[in-house]
Amino acid sequence: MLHINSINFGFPVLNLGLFKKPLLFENLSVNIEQNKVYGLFGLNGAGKTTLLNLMAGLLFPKSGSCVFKGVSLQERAPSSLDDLFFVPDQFDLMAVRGNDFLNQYAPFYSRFSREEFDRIAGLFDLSLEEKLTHLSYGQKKKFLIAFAFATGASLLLLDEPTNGLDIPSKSQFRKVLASADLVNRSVIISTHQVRDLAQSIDHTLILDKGNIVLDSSISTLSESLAFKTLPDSHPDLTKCIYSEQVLGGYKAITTKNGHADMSDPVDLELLFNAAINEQVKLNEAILEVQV
Amino acid sequence: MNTTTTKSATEPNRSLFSIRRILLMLRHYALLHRTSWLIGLLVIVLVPITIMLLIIIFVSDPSVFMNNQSKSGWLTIYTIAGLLLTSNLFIDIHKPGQSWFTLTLPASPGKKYWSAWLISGPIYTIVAMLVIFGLSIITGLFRTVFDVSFTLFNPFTSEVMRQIMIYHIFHALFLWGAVWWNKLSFLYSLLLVVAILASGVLLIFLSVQAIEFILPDNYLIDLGSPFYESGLRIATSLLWLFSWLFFLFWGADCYARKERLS
Repeated sequence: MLHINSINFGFPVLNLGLFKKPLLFENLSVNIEQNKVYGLFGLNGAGKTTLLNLMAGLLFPKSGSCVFKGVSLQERAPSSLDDLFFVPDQFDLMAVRGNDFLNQYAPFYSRFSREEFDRIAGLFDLSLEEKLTHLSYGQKKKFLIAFAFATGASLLLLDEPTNGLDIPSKSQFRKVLASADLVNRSVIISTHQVRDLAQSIDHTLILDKGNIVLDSSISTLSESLAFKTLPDSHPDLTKCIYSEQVLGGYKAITTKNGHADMSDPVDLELLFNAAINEQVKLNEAILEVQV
Repeated sequence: MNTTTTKSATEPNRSLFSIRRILLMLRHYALLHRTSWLIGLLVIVLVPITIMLLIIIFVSDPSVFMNNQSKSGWLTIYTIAGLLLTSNLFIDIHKPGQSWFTLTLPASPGKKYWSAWLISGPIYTIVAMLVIFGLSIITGLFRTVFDVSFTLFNPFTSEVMRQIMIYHIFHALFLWGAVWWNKLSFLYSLLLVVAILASGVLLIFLSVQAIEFILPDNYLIDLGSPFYESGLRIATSLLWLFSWLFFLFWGADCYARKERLS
């Protein structure tokens, strides 16, 4: 669906030619497939938002290509823009009422469904009579999320979608995601709040220092890795891929070694820390099982 | 909750030319700038009427003031207001919080840019001419009260046509400036115009000096002769045409390459 091929990207800086700013992404490649919900994780400044901007065609790589359904995103072709919607973390909306916004911008999207918008707006308890600029940050975000799902775009890019949402709205967002028709559609969610969306994600992309250090589906991770809580001095601790001390023992990731092993579900926080600190061991363990 | 169904665009998305998307883009610009445009229009309409009323109230013989012809004033306001409007047209693509939306709206960069040209060039000109015509009727009515003769504004005179042409040439530069500069684009575009004109004058001066230096002392160029006059007119026209097209298409190219600011 979306192919990012060997892109190089860095923000231009005025440095009088004395210092060369290192590229944020060097030879980065990612493939986004249909019918999946991707979780894009990374430390602050890892480049998650920049990557989403590149995927939306809002930034252009210095070299390499971002191709969506066979069309370069650099062209900003209407066919691509009609089929892709980006919800940024920081945004301003126009000083118009929700209904006026819909009347003006929904016709740009050929598959826009007002019924779907109303369904999600109902879940979020949104008012369409108020001016969008009078809404709180969280309400604006909910409006935009509802609009994004209603566009019928086959690729949704959501940057920190749960930022600013209150606790009930986070739960509603998970419901929206679960109830959305994801046939021939993919969602990429960049977030720091792993726990909010742990159950919704079925593929993880972990970004560190401009590189994808983990690109794996949750099912593959479940097949290859065991997430356990082990007591101190447990013999498996010496063989584990990664462990963290917690109250009363260790949270650890070990390999399943091909046999069905009783373990906890994929712990995205632990997985993230393992991908950042032990990326080679982690990827070798996943690859071993896949082979 | 409003449950009316929004009409969706049904045209093929890959079509190169879509009137519907151009109309939607025109509405987008109108929606984005409607407050400032309305304020501008009200100022332009109300200021002359207020001045007229003040003259009637406070001046003992208003007919003296009513005799002044205001056509060139209107045309100056038309030009300056249009260039100001043009300079602010792409204000959203320079704001990180707004640019993502405009840049990802499903319309090609060409449609977005040429719609902006259409609304701030030809459409603005038609609206401005209608407003000036309306104002000329209102001011004319004031004049009739004081038995001062008046003529209605005629947009089809050579003077008006020349001013419209001049506006469109500068409009192309200011439209390019609106894409190129992230802020103060009106000021920077104005400075660029001054710089270009100054460079032009300097270039002509140096060329004349060079020609005088090269030619023998007794050789005289008669700039008033029909040969030189028509030549100069053609050269100037070509230069204006080239400048207009150059800035217009450079602006379109800059728009297509515009990225979201971080």
